[in-house]
Amino acid sequence: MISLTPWITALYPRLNASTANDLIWWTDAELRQWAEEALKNLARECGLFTERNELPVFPGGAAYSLPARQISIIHLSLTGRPLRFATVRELEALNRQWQTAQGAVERYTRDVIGLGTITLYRLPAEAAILALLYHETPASIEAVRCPKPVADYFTYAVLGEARAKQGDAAMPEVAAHARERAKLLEAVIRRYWGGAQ
Amino acid sequence: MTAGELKTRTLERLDESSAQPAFYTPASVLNALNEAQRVFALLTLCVERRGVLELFPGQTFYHLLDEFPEFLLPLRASVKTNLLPTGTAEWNSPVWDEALWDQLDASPPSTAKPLRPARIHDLDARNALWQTTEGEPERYGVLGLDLLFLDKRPAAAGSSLLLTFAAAPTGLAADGDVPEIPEEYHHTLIDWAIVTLRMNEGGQELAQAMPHLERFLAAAAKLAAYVRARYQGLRYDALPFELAAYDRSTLLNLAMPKEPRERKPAA
Repeated sequence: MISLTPWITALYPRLNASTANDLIWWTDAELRQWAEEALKNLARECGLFTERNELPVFPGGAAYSLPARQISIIHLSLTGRPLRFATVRELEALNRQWQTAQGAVERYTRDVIGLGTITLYRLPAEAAILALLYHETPASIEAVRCPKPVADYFTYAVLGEARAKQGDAAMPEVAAHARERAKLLEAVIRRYWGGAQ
Repeated sequence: MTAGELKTRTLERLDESSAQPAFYTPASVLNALNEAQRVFALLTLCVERRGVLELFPGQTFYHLLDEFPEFLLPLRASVKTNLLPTGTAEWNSPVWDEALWDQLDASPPSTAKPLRPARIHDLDARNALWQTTEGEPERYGVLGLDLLFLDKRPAAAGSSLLLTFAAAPTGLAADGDVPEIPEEYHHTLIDWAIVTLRMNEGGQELAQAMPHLERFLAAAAKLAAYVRARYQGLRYDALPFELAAYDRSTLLNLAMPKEPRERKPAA
């Protein structure tokens, strides 16, 4: 687990400052915002951060909310048995009364009403545990589970934004180069850790 | 080369006194060298480590970064059910114990059985109830950065996972520290560091430093090709990034800001 705070602190000399108070054309809050945006971008584009969670399932309960910050589901299983994803159209083709059908739960669908929910087909008859493997965005840049080479991506993403910001300290060529470095690191990250399972 | 030597050579190439640098602090030079080593190791996967992960009964998923903070990618995984070595050493043992870059294989033969890599949906196809099946694991996978899963969970305590993995290098701190990447590539860290430090100045200073970056990437591509061939021979489960196939033109050609055009007066 790394904290991005020391990484942001290490950026000060690269922005011609020694401490946060010397950042004349930027603020510490701006650097953190850019780091958070880079974190969300990486989480969304490369599926780096995966987590496992368990949700209790109630008899007759069809819809369940997904954990906060989840991006996409990798695998869903009920009491150890995997469930297959199906679209609403497929469920309607299987059974026109799919939303009230009862029996063995075999499939699930997503986001029937709004975002961030799953709906089971069919309605479970007894309580069970739904095990969820999913991609997520880390809660905060202060505690990110990633190795140090991956954190270099954040360094260049923030540097690219900082040097591209309009003002006396703008250095477009440095911003472009920093972004190219971030792009290289993103390509490497995507190759090693990205993609679906 | 030591960290002190690398710092001195970097400052010399920037026309700075290593004793009293004026524009670049020793700390910023060391940071740049550490970053160079991290990026080099990430591109080539040349730093290899081994670790033992204790497996618990009833547990299928493990976060590897909690146990191995420097973990990058799994190269080979084996399961041992007996933690104590047995028998005498066999140098031509066909099991997974292999010498690393500069280490002699002095460990006794293991009873470790190598696991085959698999995806989650492969395990679903083989056995729908794999998450609750007990037994000796035969397959493994890693989701995202570090979420390891096994196709079977051990029934009792005493099992461990012997993991060979590509690792992030240990950072350089003291002047006597030596980079973990192969010795013949130590000087290429200076190339990345120079360009990184020149980013503070931008403009022509940065543009003229680009050949250093090209040299760094060429060296990384060369070592990555060697590591790739070696890992394929060892039948490891991960290979380095194909840097030779990556389009570096936009990275190496600095986009200088255009001068504003002179406006001609109206006729």
